[in-house]
Amino acid sequence: MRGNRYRLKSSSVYVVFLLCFAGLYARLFILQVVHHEELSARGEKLHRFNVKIDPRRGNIYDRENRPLAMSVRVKSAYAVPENIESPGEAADLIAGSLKIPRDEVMAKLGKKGRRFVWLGRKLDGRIADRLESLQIEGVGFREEVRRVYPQGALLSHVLGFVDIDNRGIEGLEFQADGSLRGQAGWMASHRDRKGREIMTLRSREVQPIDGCDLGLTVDVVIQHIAESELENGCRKYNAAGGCIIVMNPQSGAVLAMSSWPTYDPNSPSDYPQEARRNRCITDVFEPGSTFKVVTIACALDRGAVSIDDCFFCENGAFRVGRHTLHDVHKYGTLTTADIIRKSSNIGAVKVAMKLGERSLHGGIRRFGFGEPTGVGLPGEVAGILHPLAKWSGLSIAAVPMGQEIGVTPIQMASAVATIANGGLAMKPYIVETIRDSSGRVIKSFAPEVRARVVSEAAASALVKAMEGVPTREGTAPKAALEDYTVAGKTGTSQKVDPDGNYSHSRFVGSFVGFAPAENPSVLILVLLDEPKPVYYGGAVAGPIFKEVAGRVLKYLGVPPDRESGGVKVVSVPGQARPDAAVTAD
Amino acid sequence: MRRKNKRLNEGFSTAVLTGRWMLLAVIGVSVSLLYVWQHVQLVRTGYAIKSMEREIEKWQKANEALRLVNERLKNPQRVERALAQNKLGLVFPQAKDIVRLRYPRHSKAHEKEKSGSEGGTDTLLSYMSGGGSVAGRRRL
Repeated sequence: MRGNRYRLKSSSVYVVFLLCFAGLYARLFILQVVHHEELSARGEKLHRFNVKIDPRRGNIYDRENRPLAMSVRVKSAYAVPENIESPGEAADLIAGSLKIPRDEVMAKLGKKGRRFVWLGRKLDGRIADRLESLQIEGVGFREEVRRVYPQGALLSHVLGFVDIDNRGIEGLEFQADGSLRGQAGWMASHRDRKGREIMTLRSREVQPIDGCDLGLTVDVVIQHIAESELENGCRKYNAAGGCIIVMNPQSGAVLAMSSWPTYDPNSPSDYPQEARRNRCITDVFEPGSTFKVVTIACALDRGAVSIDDCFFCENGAFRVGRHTLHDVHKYGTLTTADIIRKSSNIGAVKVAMKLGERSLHGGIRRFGFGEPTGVGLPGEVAGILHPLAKWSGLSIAAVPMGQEIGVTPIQMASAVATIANGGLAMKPYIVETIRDSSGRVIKSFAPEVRARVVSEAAASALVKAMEGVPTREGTAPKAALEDYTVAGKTGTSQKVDPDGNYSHSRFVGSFVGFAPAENPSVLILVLLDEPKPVYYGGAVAGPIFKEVAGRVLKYLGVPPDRESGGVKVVSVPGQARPDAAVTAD
Repeated sequence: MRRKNKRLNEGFSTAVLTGRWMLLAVIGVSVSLLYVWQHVQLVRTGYAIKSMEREIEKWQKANEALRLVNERLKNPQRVERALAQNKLGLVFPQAKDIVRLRYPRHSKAHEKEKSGSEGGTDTLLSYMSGGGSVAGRRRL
């Protein structure tokens, strides 16, 4: 009897356990088999995540490896409005931290149905830390890469800038975007309930490829000298704008390129579009008298004239067709060299007439006018050089003195660099190397000879003539340096009024020169747009050239090639120069 | 007796079988525990690696920020205007403040290098160290 009861009890327990396990297995079957697809998809969605890994955008360096553009990792703040319980309080805290109007924050937090809104992108470290320390529910942070320009406005027109997503918009950032950007990577993994990644469940990972670094020919110190002197000059002469180019005429390497007004690429939207224009490559202007060096170089090269040939300059008034050409001063007979030195319009036209239209046009083309120089910056224009067939009867009286032709500052600088370099035209360039993220050079740009434009003899004779310009007898005595010989040419051109006539109040003053004249280390072009009240190139651009050239030559350690009145010279007999060990080959 | 022996033998076999099963179960459980322990260790190590990665990233970010500050401080505009001219009162030397030292040529290498300088001598620009201050300011 007792045995039967015991068996009944144990059987009941057994059945209960069996039913429980059966229920559990049934549930397990439903979860694992029947709803397998749905539940595993839900689990995957909750725990699995894909992350895009941003590459580092390549840096830009000057020729001494000083960074001009860098990428730094910063935080961006976002909000999930539906997770914020008290939007009003949160808005007060967020607005206080980010220094933005409370209404703006409220508008973002009040957006219905939005699960994600940016509060601030690429914040400064201190601001992000301050906001993060408040630990506001529903506010999160994401790491992003911000482009920064540690030198501020320096070289801004060449560097350009990027948009919020680090895509190049202007300048080299735009031109070399493909090299600088790199390739994004990605990773697929799982996270735990605390949001931490479970590394053992990382299924796939593709490493990003960082962008390449650019090494420029520009020197930060020379750029600074050029920019500060240009700004001083523009302010002093009330110019609407200006630009300056410093080149090595023997290689074509651009050492500095600046436009004024300028802007800070760290906050480009704070400046008008006018300030963001790289005038050196985009502005077309009538060069005026600086173009006489091109005319005379062509004539000397073709043997149409020699440097000592004499021309009667009609005492300041020369009738060509229905028009009368004038010189600033009345000149009688001038040699070809004097035409350069005195900048005689009539003399230049008479030289061109001896050369002939066809030869002049061909020579101008050989100098590279009418086509972009290919300096490697975006937005470079070709200038205006009308085809010979479209030249009027008066063109031969206008083009030789820099009218009826439009050039860019970089074209004019390259043309004079050709003369400084003995008639050999070098292609101007600003990017010297492209290096991968490990520093290995993957592409380098060496000096490139574009063409022999004029003979060495013609160039040499012209350089001698140009040495007369920065003298008391020339048009730019203020461009002369005390301890270096300078060769150069002034230019003053009238701007065209909206009615199509030459203006009598708006001028462009320019000076382009190089030093030391015989063996030039630097070529500098200075251009001021609408200087007032003084506007002659020799008077406004000449002094800027002098300041820049003097400082740059000393910075480069170029030995002086002439005695200066003010500088004392002390002989040190029997002693070696202290830095001889450094300079010996 | 024979029946008793048979029963004893059967009991012994059952015990051995049970023992074997239990040993197998223990081994199975141990292996399972080892697997779980190993998995837990892997996950923990993963967390530790992740934490170290975050630490490295933190220091890299700090390094980037300091490098940026360093570059900003070296900005030539700041060095020249804010520090040299405004703070230290330095000015550019005038011609009268400059002494050019003329050294005799001493080597072929030097001759080649200095072929541009006149008079068969080396020159080295040197700024005067004393006297003739410019409006009470030091020279840059």
